[in-house]
Amino acid sequence: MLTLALVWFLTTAVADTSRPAAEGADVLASFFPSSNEIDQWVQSDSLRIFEGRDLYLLIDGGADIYFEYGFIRAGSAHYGNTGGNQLSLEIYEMKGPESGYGIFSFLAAGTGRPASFGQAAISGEDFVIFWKGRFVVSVTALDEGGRTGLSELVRAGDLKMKSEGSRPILTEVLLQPQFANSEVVYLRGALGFDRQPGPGRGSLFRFREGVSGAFGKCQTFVLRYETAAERDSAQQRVLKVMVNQGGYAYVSQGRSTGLLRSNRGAYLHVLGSEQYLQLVSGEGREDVLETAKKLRIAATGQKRQ
Amino acid sequence: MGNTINRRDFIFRSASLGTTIAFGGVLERLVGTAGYAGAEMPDLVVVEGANYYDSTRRAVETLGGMKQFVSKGSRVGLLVNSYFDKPGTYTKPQIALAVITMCYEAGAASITSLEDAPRSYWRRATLSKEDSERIDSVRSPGGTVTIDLPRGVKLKSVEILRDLLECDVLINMPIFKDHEGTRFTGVLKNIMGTTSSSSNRFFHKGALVSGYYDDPAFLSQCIADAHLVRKPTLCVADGTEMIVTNGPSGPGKIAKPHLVVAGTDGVAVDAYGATILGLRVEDVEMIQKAQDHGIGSADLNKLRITKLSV
Repeated sequence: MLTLALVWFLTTAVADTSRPAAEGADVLASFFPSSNEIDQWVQSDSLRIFEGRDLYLLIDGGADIYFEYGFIRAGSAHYGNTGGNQLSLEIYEMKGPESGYGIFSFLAAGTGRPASFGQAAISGEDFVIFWKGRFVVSVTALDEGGRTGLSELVRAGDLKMKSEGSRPILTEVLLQPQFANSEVVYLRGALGFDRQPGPGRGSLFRFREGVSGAFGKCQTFVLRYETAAERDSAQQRVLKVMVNQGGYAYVSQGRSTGLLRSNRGAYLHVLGSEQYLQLVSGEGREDVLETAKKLRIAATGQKRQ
Repeated sequence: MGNTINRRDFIFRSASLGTTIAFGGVLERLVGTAGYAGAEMPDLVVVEGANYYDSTRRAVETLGGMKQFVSKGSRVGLLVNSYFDKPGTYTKPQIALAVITMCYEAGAASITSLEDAPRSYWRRATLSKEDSERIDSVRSPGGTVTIDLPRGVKLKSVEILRDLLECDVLINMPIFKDHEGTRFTGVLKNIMGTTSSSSNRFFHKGALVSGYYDDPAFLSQCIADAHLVRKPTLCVADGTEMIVTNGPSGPGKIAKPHLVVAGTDGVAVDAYGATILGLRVEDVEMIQKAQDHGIGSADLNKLRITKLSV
């Protein structure tokens, strides 16, 4: 287990620590195609820029997840064609590439199919969302006719954005071949945590960063804390609440590990090591134990590479 | 929103809802009753169909018809989720239009759009001349009043639209969809379209541990508490096409069950709506908390549910 902790420590220590450049609203505005750049589509309203808390004005009731990941500013504009069709373009500037990837991974999970824009993208019938550096872009056709201009507007925005960035290192644990087909979500707080299948109660964990992904019939989490003591404190706190108030009971319990079963029949394997907490949840006891074992092997294998 | 009435101007207590209302002469309407008493009347009507206007009319007719809820000369408050513009994030205007038409047919004297749906919202539907005239006649809401909520668990007072209290008939028209925090929005969450921005900020700030809202339990309790102000007379919910990820604003994955759900119990309507999104009632805290307040019943096994296709 120490090996696992070391892997995570080392990989995190060399993580991209880039910060958003001191570029302002003008840079963000420059990413929006002007009216003569896209055939048959013109910007149909003024570009609006939302700084910090003003994001609530753009997405009232939906801004908080952006704040959790580290929001700087957003721009929003509509584009229309002569047929009266409408497209919406929104560009979100986050605190850095990790924040950008984080909110992208949250939005992408279970939402669409992979697409070839930016550094990573998904698309659906009416939209494209892509990640590039510290930016996340969403383009939405507001009506059926708008779908005809969707790809062109996405491409135009993509070409204007030059800076790229790296995914959070912690995500590599779940991006190895063993975990193929899993949708990896980078986590920065309780809102993101609680939206993943699993134990919930994200506000209790108070982790610094985390990653989650489906693996077979199980959901996996790897959470990082600042120190081992902080992790241990969180682990004890969470387990106490789960057992006393959350309907969980221990099936087995070790010094830093435990297998719990909820009153709904779900299993949760918890493993703490150094500043990392590994969680595996699922309906089948053997599935959960096997996945917990593979997750440790995957992390060890990552070090060997 | 201005014109806040000072709570000292009015003292009115509603024991049944545990609400101190800073407003006069409205208790009978606020207690909220179903518009019918028929023993065989369904609690919920679920209509499946591709023509959302027709589905809506059929749903209300199966509940006994709009005249059960709207009497001649009534002032109707219509709470339509119309804020966002991405597919699957707003109540289809065809559904709202069907309800507006039925209200006028039943003799409504006036209709107020409590969320003040913009003109661009109505342009998403194909409108006849008569439709446009009806929509033109829909009023914008006025100011707010502040109401004490002695029975509120987290929310002890709320600033809310005066028209929500003054209207004779309150029709709540949400879209069922995903929400980043509460996981689901429907009738109950829609009340935030009538509460002031300062009240909504309080809902969202929660314990302020993170400086932003990350406390869905707090938000859920506030929403349930806010419903102590008034129950809807009728709920007509859009379950036709909705985002099931990235709510409430989208864009997100869209499901198309093509359902319109109507009932008088907002908790029951939401309990059913949650299942459309693949959630269990116990997954949505605000439904449980609203039920705990006695606002309605989330026990789908005990509800009379009529399902139809058009």
